[in-house]
Amino acid sequence: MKKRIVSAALALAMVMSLFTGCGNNSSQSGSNSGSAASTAGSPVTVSNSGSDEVIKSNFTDIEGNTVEIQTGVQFPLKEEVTLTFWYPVGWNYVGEMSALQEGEVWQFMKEQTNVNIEFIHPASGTETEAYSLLYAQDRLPDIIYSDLNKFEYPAGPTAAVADGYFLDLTDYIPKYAPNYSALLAANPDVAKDVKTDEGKLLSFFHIYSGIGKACNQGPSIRTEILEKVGYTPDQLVTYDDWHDALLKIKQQGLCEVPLFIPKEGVMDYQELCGGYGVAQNFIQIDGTVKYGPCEPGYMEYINMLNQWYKEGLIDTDFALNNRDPEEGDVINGKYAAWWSFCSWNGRKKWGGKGVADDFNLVGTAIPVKTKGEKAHYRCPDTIVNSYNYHISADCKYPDIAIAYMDLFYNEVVSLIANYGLGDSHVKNADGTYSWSDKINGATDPSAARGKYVCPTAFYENYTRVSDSWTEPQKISQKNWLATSDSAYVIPVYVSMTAEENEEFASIMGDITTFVQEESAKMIAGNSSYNADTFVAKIKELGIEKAIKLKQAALDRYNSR
Amino acid sequence: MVKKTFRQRLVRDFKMNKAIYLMLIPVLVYFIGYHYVPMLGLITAFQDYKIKLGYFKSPFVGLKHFQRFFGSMYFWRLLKNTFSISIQDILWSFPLTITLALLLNELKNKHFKKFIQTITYLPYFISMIVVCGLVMDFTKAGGLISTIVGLFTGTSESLLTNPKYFQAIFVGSGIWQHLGYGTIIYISALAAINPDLYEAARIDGAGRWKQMWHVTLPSLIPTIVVMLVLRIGSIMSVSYQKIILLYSPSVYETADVISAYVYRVGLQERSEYSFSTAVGLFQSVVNLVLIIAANKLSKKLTDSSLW
Repeated sequence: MKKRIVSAALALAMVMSLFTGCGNNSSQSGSNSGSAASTAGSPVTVSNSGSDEVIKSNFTDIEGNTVEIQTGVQFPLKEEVTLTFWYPVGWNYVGEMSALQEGEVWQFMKEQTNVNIEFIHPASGTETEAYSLLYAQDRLPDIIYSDLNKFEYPAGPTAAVADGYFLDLTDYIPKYAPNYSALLAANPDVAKDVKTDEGKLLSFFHIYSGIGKACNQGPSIRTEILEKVGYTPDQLVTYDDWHDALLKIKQQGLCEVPLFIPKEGVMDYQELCGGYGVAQNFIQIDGTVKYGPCEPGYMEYINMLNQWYKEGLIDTDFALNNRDPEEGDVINGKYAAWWSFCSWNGRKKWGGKGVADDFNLVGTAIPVKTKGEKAHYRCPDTIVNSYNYHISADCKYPDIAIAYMDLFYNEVVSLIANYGLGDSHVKNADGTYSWSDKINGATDPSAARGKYVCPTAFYENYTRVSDSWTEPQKISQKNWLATSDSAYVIPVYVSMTAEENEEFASIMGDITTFVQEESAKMIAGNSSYNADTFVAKIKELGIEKAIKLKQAALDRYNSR
Repeated sequence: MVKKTFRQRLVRDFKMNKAIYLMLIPVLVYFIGYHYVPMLGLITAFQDYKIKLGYFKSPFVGLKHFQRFFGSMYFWRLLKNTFSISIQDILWSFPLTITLALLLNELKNKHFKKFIQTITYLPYFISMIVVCGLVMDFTKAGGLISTIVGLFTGTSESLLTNPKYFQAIFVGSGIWQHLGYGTIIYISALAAINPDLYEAARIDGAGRWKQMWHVTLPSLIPTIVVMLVLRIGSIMSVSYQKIILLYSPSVYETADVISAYVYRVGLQERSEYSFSTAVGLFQSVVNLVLIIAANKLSKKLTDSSLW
C-alpha cells in the first residue's frame, strides 16, 4: 500500500513538473509589497511647467542633527514602499548578511524615507548570465545595476529604453531628482558623460566626488625578488629595464616564470603595450579613431613578447592563462610579475592562504620605450564610473525610485553613505571623515564595508578608499600615474545606435578572433602572418568600416 | 467483412482501450509542449528577435543571420573542424567500443569481468569540468603526458596549445571517458544472442574465433548500425562546453567548432538570440540530412535501419 502511494505521488510530481515551467516567477512580481504611497497607484504624469515647487524633507545628518534637504518627493513616505534592486557586485560585501539591505546605512535610509530596498544578488560567477536573463523575465526589478563595460543591453542603453525595458529619465530627473540635477548643472563635464548623444538621461551614474578615482590598476612585480637582481620598483621604467630584470630573475632561478601574460597576449587594461602607444582595441589619437593592432606599435609589442617567449620570460603555454594568475600559482611563487588592482598590492593572503612572509607585490610604472616618454594608454582616471542604475519601465513607483536614488547625490546623505553612522568613521582635523578601524581594521574589510557603509556609494568620495590604503598600495598608484596618461583611451560613454552596434558587432566578431589567434601565435613564433599580411588581413575583414562607426560615435560624444 | 474506415476503427479502439489512451495524455502533452511548440521558436532565426516584442512583432529580416554566418571568413574552418572532430571520434570510438564489448563477452571469470567493467565505466561519471582539468594538467607544459611525449621528441612543449595535437587530445580524452559506458548497449545485445547458434557452430567445428566472426558479429550488426546512424545524426553537435574548457586562441585553427564560435561571438558578450538560432537551425538541418542519408544507405547495404 505504502509503495503504491509513493509511486502515485512520484507520478503526480512528474506530471506537475511538466507545467511548472510556464508559471510566473511569483517572487519577482511580488516586489511592491507596500500599499500605495502618496502619489502611487496611478501612472505618474510628468509636466515641465508648474511643478517648480520645492519639496523639502527632514533628514538626520552624519552628526545626528536634523537638517532640511531638497528631495524629489516628500520623505518619509506616509506608507512603506518596497523597491527591488538588482545588484550584482558584491558577495564579498554581503559577507555574513543575507543581502545588502541588512547593512546599517540601508536600515538608516529605511527609517528616514520609509522606502524598503530589497536587493537581488545573482549567484557569484553567474552575474553576466543573470544580467542577460533579466531581459527574458516578465517583469524587471525596479532598479537595475548596469555597467557600460560588462553588463549592458546588447544593442546599447538607448535601445533598451526604446525596446521598453527601462524608463527614459530625461523628463523625470528635473522634477524628481533635484540633487542629481544640481550636480549635473554644476559639472558640465559630468553631464557630458552621463547624457546620451541625443542629450537624454537614461540612468543614474555612479559619480565620484572631488578629484575622482585615479587609475587603480597596472603592472606589478614582487619587490623582494626584484631587489635580489638589483632593482627597486621605481627603477623599472623602460621595456629594456623590464627585460633586463626579468632575464636576471630567470637566470638566477628566482622564479619559474618571471612574467604572467594572459592568453590574449595583452593584460587586462593593456598594462604592457601602453608604452608602444597601442592597445588590442580601438584607440584615439587626438580625436582620430584607430584600431590598435593595425598600428606599427602593436607589432613592436608582439615582437618584444616573442623575444621574451624565446628567452623563457613568459609561460610557454601562456595561451591557457586566464585574466590573472591562479591563486595556487601565486602562493607557490610561480610568477614574479603580473598586472594587479591596487587592492591586490601588499596583500598577504591569496585564496585564503598565506604567501611567503617577504612576498611584496608593488606596482611599477607603465613601461615606455625610452626614459622620459609617457605612455598614453592605461586605466583612465574617472569622475563618472561605468556603473549606472536604470529604473525599470515596470517600476510601479518611478517617482519614488528616482527620488530615492537622488538622495544619495545629496551632500548630507552621501556623507552617511560614504562614511556610515556612529563609530564607523572618524572625523579628521580638517573636517573631513575617514573610515574607523571598525572597517579598516576588520578581519574582512569588504564585509565590514558592506555592513557599515554603502560599498559603492552612488556619489562616492574615493578618498575614503585611498585613505585606507596600505603603504605598498599608495606606492603602486604613485608609480602607475608617474609616467602615463590615458589620452588614447576611448571613453566608455561613447555610444552607438542599435543599427551601428549590430553592424559593428558582426564585423568585429571575426576580427577579434583573428587578432587574438594570430597574436598568440606570433608571440609563440608560429604564425603564418607577418607584420604586413597581418594588417592587410584585418583591413580585408572590414576594419575601415568599424573604425568609421567608432569614429562617428566618438565625434558625437565630443560634440555633446 | 466490410473494412471499416480509419475513424470507425479509431473510435472502436478508443472505446476498448480507454485507460491506455488516458495514460498516453501526459506523454503527448510533454512532447507537444516541450518538443513541438518550441520548434515554432525557429522563426526567430529569420527575425531580429527581441524578447519584449515577441515572435509576432519582432522585425522579419529573412536570411540576414545565415548570410552573416556563411559570410564569416571562418565558416569553412569551423565546418571542417566540426566534421573532423566528429568523424575522428566515430572512427576511433566505434571499433574500440565494440572490441571492448567483445573482449568482455569472452571473459569467463565473472569477478574479473565486473572489475574491468566498473573500471571502464567510472570515468563516465566524472564531471566534464574535472576531466578537462585533468586533461589540462597532463598536457600543458611540464604535465605528465607532455613530459612523456617529450622523452621521445626531445622537447617537453605544451601539447594543448599546439594546433597539431588538439583534436587528438579532444577525441582521446572523450574515448577514455565514454568507452566503458558505450559498451553497455553492446553487452546487452550480446546477452540476447541465442545460445543455440553457438552450439550449432561448435558442432560444425567452429573455434572461438570463428564463433565470434560468424555468430557474434552478425548478431551485433543491427545494434551497430542503429548506433552508427544515430551518431551520424549528431555529427554537427560537438560538445562546445568541452571545447571551450580546453581551447585557447593559439589552437583556434583546429579547435574552433561551430558551437564554440557561436558561443564566443554571439552569446558571450551580446545575447544575439537570432544569430544563435540561425546557426542552430543550420546545424540541425545538416544533421537531419545526414541521418536520413545514413539510414537510407544502411537499409540498402545491411537491411537494418533506424526506421
